[in-house]
Amino acid sequence: MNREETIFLDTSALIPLLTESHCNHYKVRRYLKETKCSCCIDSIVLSEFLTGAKSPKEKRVVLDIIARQFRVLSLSVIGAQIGAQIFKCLKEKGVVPKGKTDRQITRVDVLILASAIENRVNTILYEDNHFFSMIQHVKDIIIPNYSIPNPIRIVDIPGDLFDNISN
Amino acid sequence: MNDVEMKTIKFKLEGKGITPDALGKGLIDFLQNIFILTEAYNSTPIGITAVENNCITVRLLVPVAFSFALFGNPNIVNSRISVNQVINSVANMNKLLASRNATMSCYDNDIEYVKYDGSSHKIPVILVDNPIKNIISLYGELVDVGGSGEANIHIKTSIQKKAITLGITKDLARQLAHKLYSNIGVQAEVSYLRGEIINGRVVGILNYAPQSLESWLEKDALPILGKEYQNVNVEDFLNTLRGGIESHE
Repeated sequence: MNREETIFLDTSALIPLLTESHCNHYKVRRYLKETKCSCCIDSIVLSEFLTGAKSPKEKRVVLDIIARQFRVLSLSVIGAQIGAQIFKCLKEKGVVPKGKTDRQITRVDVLILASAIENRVNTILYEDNHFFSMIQHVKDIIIPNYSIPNPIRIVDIPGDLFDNISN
Repeated sequence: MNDVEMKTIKFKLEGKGITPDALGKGLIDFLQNIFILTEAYNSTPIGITAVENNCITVRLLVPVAFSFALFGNPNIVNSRISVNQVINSVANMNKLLASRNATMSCYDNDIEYVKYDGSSHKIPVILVDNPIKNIISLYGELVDVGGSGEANIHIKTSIQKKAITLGITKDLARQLAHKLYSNIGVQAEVSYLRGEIINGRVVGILNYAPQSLESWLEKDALPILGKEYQNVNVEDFLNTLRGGIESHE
């Protein structure tokens, strides 16, 4: 029995998808349409989206719209172990930033990635720079029985004429 | 297999109804379960040397390190065989022995090591690690729902190769019945052993009903959420948020 293909959106991909005026909106939209995978986000991503929304409508309505379409994942005990292992490996590699703020950003990125790994998503779609530098150091970490999702940075998705016209 | 020292082990299945004719397809299931349980504890593939007809004896060639002491212990299985396969194989073997009033003797180099009858002396499942319980959201295709006694559902997910079986109340099962072969989401209390869900129970049904992305964006998402992040620099926003810097700092 084959596992189905799934794609995981970081907040830096979810916001462009849901903001028509964003420069990456049509790129993300086209990419998801072409891949035809089931889309997932983590509860941290959902929380970040709700936090930054300018004029959050009735929260229940927003949650309902997103949760009907996206699989909202969260860390279980297994994901918590995976997250701890990744953070430890990054520390051993000496790539966890020393500054309090950057360190905290890395920790959040790791938790989001751990959730994706635990849920065996195939692809993780993101744009922000911190996530990019973190994932470069995670690629070679071996997590028994799990694999690291294929990271796709939005900027690396080839654009097409349709994206430019739509913008 | 050439570099590994091998030995012969033997499984002898005895009982009134134990003949290849009487067992029929059950013989294939028996062999399959023997293979799973034996191969689970070896880093090297095993080899079958003989199936003898008088009361069905299976001889296998296994590495010398193999021990019947590990039989039925899903905590030490290798990566080729899953914990659930071991648990299911043990259950199937015990069921076969009990239903046919048969015994299975296990021989290590022709010395009888242990004998099971599936009822008073069952092949044990030794859980050295206690399963960890957790309530999680599970998503996937609903491939079965029902059951004559206890109701259950089977969900094909992205997290395990085989469909996951979860107990469910009949009320909740009825709510899911019309969603057979659709993508569903449920909240479930599950038990993990070695990273695998070994059992669980549905505690709620999630309001997950995905449609085509385009239709969802055009009809539902963009009209309501489309302007929430207009003119916001997403990277700055995320750095601020994830870095724990609040606007008043």
